[in-house]
This record gives sequence, C-alpha cells and structure tokens, in this order.
Amino acid sequence: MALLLFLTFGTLVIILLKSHNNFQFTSMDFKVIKFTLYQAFVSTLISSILGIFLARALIRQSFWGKSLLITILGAPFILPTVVAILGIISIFGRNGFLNNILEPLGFKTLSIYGLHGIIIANIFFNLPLVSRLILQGWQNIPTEQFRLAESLNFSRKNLFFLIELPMLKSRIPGIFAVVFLICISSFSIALTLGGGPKSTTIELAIYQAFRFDFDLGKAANLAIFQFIFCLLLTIIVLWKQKNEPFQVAYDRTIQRWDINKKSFIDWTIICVSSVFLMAPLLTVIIDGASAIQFLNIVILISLIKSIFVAVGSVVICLSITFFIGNVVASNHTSSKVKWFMEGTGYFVIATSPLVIGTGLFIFLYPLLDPTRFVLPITALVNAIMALPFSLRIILPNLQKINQDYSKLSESLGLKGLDKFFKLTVPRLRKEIGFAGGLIGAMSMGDLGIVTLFSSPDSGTLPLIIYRLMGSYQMEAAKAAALILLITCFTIFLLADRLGKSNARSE
Amino acid sequence: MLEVNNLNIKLKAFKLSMHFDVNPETITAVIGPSGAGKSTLLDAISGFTDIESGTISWKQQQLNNLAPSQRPITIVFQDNNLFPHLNVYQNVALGLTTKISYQPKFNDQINEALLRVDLKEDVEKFPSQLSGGQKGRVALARALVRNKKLLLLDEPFAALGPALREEMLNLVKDISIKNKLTVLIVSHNPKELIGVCKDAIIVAENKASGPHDLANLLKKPPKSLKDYL
Repeated sequence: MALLLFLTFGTLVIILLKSHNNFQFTSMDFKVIKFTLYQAFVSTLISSILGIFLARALIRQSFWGKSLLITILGAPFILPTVVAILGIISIFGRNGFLNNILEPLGFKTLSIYGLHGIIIANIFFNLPLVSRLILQGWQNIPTEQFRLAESLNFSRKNLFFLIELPMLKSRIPGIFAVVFLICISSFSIALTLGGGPKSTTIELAIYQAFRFDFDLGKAANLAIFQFIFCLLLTIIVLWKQKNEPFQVAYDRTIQRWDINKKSFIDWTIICVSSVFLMAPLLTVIIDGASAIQFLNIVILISLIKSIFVAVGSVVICLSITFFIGNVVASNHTSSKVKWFMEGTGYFVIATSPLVIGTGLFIFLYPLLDPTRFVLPITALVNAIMALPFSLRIILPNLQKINQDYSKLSESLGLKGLDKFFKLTVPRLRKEIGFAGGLIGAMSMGDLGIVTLFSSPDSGTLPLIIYRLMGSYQMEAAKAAALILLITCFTIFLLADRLGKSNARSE
Repeated sequence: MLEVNNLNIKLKAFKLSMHFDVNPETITAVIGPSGAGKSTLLDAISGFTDIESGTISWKQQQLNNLAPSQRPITIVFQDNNLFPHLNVYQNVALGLTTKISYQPKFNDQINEALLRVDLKEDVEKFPSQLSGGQKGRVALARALVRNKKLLLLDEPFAALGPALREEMLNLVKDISIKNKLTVLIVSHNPKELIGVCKDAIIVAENKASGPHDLANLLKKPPKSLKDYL
C-alpha cells in the first residue's frame, strides 16, 4: 500500500522537490497543452459518435461474422499499441496501401505523422471501446421494455426518447471522460506518430524534457498539470461509472419490431469499421509472416525479456489486488479505510507511467543505477497501471465470496493462506485467469516506462519494434510485431483458459 | 449450562436484550416472529456480533472474548454451509483441519461421521449434486467431527418439505443424545418441535428470555407470541 502511494503520488512530489519549480509555463508548454487537449477532444468526439452508431448497428442487425466482430472489438485492450501503429502506418502511411491507390488518381499524399495520424490511432483504439460499452447498455435494457413499446404501438421517435435516450444519457458522459482520459495519456501513439513542435503531447514533452534535456522543472510543470487534469476526469469517470463488472460483451440481437433490415447507415458503419479495424492487423499479420526471415537474436532475446516483464507484472498486480481486496471485502474494516484503499487503486488511472518513471528515476539514481533495473521497474510500473482493471474484475466477486462465506470460514477458523488457497482461489479461478491474462498482455505490449530507462542495447520487444521502425527496417519491425501480437494473445488466452478449465461441476 | 446474562446488542436501529439459560444436553427451541432477532441471537452466541454489555458463559467459562472458531460451538446456517468447490469429504474434513494438504489420519473419523448421517455413498459428490436434505446432512456430519458441545441450528431445514424436515429433526435428536450435545434450534414452525424440544426461548419485542416450557407456550401463548402463533 505504501509502495502504491509512493509510486502514484510520491513520485510526483519527488519531481516537484527536485525541480526547484517556479510554476511558470512557457509558451511552448501552452502549445503542448493546447495540442494535447485538442487532439484528445477531436479523437474522443469522433470515436464516440462512430462508436454509438456502430453499437446501434450491431444491436439492430444480425449477420454472419457478427460475433467475430464483437470479439475483435475487445481486442484493442490486449493489442500492443506499437503493433497497431505499425499496421496503421502500412495502411495510411506515405508508402501505404491508401496512398498507393489515391496518388495515381491525383490525390495529395496523405501524411500519417502528426495530428491526423494521432487521431486515427486514437480512434482505432477507442472506437471499439465505446461501441462495446454502449452495446452493453443496449443489452442491459430489459427485452420487456421493447415488447411493451411494441404492444403500446410506440412510434420510433417515442421508442428512442423513452427507452434508448435515457440509457445513452446515463452512459455517454462517463464513456466520454474515459476516452478523453485515454487519449490525453496515450504516450506510445504520440511517441510513434507525433513529435516536432507542432504535434507534441504533454506526455511526449515530459519524456523529451527528461530524456533529452533533463529539464526537470519543465517535466514537473507538465506532470502536475496532467495529473490534476486527469484526476478531475477520473473523478467524473468514477462518479458516472455503472457498477457492473468488467465483462465480455456477448452476441445478442435484441428482438425489435422497428428495424429496417436494409438500413443504409447500419451497413455502411459495420463495413467501414470492420475494414478500418481489421485491415491494419491483417497487414501486420500478412507482411510479418512473409518477413519472418528478418527475425534475429536481438528480437528473440527481447521477447524473452518481455515475457519476464509480463509475468512479473501479473504476480505484482494480483498481489496488490488481493491485498487491497481483502481489506476492502473484510467485515472488520471501517468504511473510511475501505474508501481510501479502493479509491487509491482506481485513482491510478490519473497517474502517468512517465511521471512515475521520472520520479522513480530521480529517487533511485543516488542509490543505484536505474538503467540496470529496467525490467523489474517496467514490470512494477506496468503492474500499477493495470491495477484499476484488475481491481474492477476481482473486487466485486471477492466481496460476494466474503458475503456468502465469511461466517462459515470464521466459525471453522479458516483464515490466512489456508483460506486464500482453499476458498478464494478456487472460487475466483475465472476472474483471476481473466485478470491475469489482461495484465500480462497489457504489460507485454507496453511501450511507456521502458522508453525512459533503457539503454540502446537493451529493451523489451515493443521497444525493439519501435527502434526498428525508427531506423526504417519495416520488414524486421513487422516480423517482430507479429511475434509480439501472437505472444500477447497467447498469454491472454492461456490465462483465460486456465481460469475456465477444470471448473468443477458446481 | 449455557448462561446468557443481561446481554445487550445494538445494530444500527435494532436492539436486543437477552437474558436466559439453556439446560445442558437438551434441544431448546428459539421462537418468535420474523425479524425479532432469532438469527441475531445465534450470531451473538457464536461471536459474529459485537456485544455492548453482558456475558455469555458455558460451564462457567466466559465466551465473550473468544473468536468464533475458538468457542465450543458449531453453527449451521440457513444456507452457504458448504463450499461449492469442495466435495462432501473435503467439506466434512474442514471441521478437523483447515490445512491445505490431505491428511489421512482423519479418514476414519470422517467416514464414521458420514456413516452416521447416511452419506457413505456420496463422499465424492459436490454440493450441487446433492439434495437439500443431503446438504443438511453434510453440515451435521461436520458438526459431528468438530465435536463441539454446543450446536446452534439457524433454520437449516427451512427449505425442505415437511416430511424431510421431520426426518432431519429426528436425526438431530439422535445425534444430540449420542454425542451429549446441547442444541439451540431456530424455527418458524414451533409446533414441529414439540416432540423434539422441551424448552423454548422466546425472542420478541427486543427481548429474549427463557427457558419456557414449549408445550405450555403453545397451549397458552403470551401476548407477544399470540399473533405470531
């Protein structure tokens, strides 16, 4: 717990103390802030609008491959950013698929670097998120309401205003805040597609201030601004959140009587989003497979390092989750302590791995050489960043177990590790598997903290891919990206299956 | 003898004052309207509720400050008595040890208990494969191996049909005589207990008192119980 507090808030304080800060923003800082908010706002707006329409199309139409599309909508959570960006570049980039078609037709060459690229990448990651969250909202409307509407002969307008709009209204503010938050702090997208004075986000500026200029004052200023701003967004998110467990969306078409099966809008949005979401991934898979001979020993070593990082993150994150969970779920904890513990876990969303990393570097530097501990530090920080997800998956069911079995355990004297292995683990297999898979895949694909510390000859697989991209070795980058993609999905599926297998007939 | 002396409990807006004795090696009924605090009474005795004042003692020994598992008590709840991921054998074994590893030295004891409740054939089954009555038997088998002299039953057979309920009550009676147990049983249907219990504790109007004679109570119920009966 102390570690958690130190990493989230302490690191910020360290940067502040060290920087002799005067809280003066330069005009460059303002530019950076303006750009960050602007790109986040535009990305969020487009993702939200498209996401709502996609969800609406998915709930209204049923077609072959629909469940596959819904599954794919869940993929961006475990999809490494760098892989997606590589795919996006191959479609939208200078020598990409789209330019190769458009240029001969006399169109101007599209550029993926800068604002447009950042927005496209943000939409790529957030459109699926929005449509899944909205889809859940539609699915949670009881079928009886639609039946009632039909029997009362509602017009389409009535149906929308009386049934669908209330659901959208209750969800959209929270979703908007989440997506905005993600877009503000999407470091790896800005790192790969942004840069230059015109398109630098706050996180990228912190990175540059720290890594190239070692200008801690500047880093601190931006870090504080980002933290406060994100904290406010987080409060909105937590306040607006629906208390439903983080779940897998399922394929269900609501039986409705108002549907025009040939809706032009529905089919356009389904086709366009499927192509938009799948084309970049297919490119990476196909190009990567045909460039497999470019794999080398450096890539393989970094793969092994990445797997270590992922496993480390899973262990650390689950330990913290259960530590917080046991305190929060216990009957003997005061509600203030519960609120504090749970809140800290969720407020991690407001912190940035870059800020944590910078603070940690300053703290560790006098004691030891942080660059020698890249992998443990990466594993630790990635674990912290995954904590909100892990808590969200495990906590509700941990509380349920406690509700159902705390008296029985107490009367039998079942406690401590015995209780953990005899009661908690068997009852939470599914959740532990799902959370473990998610943490592992997220940590495996992360390109954040590791960029701060690593020396040129070391690094995790995403970092190596980033470097290969930087030196225009696109074939090798794609081959490595394919390996990363496969590993991430394998980790996720393996953990998830492990949790679901052997489930006894209960 | 179980002695509950001027015991006071406060849960938010709910208050209960208890003062009663339970005669050793008997089965005593706990009766009263719903919501009067019958389950709270069992919770207080077994240590799940904080006590404001008063004492609970068993054979002159004070129980107030003991953890639930340290008290000479086995409690059987309305539901959730068994862990669904453990089979019958493992659920009973928890009465002897909470260690993770399998301990063959307890084998005989567990098998004997399962024989007593007529579950010898079902040791490998999981709770979801058992009927309501069988689940109750598993809980009783665990009570047997724990061998605590006080057995508290919180309407464990409420979900069963009348015939099965009677069968289970007879099993409880049988076990309690052979193992010299002192039993407290909460019931919604005091008439069913007439052949099993002689004494009763009344829980009504924020008070618990006893022992009263059950047969007499049913014949000439006091005002607080009249509507309920």
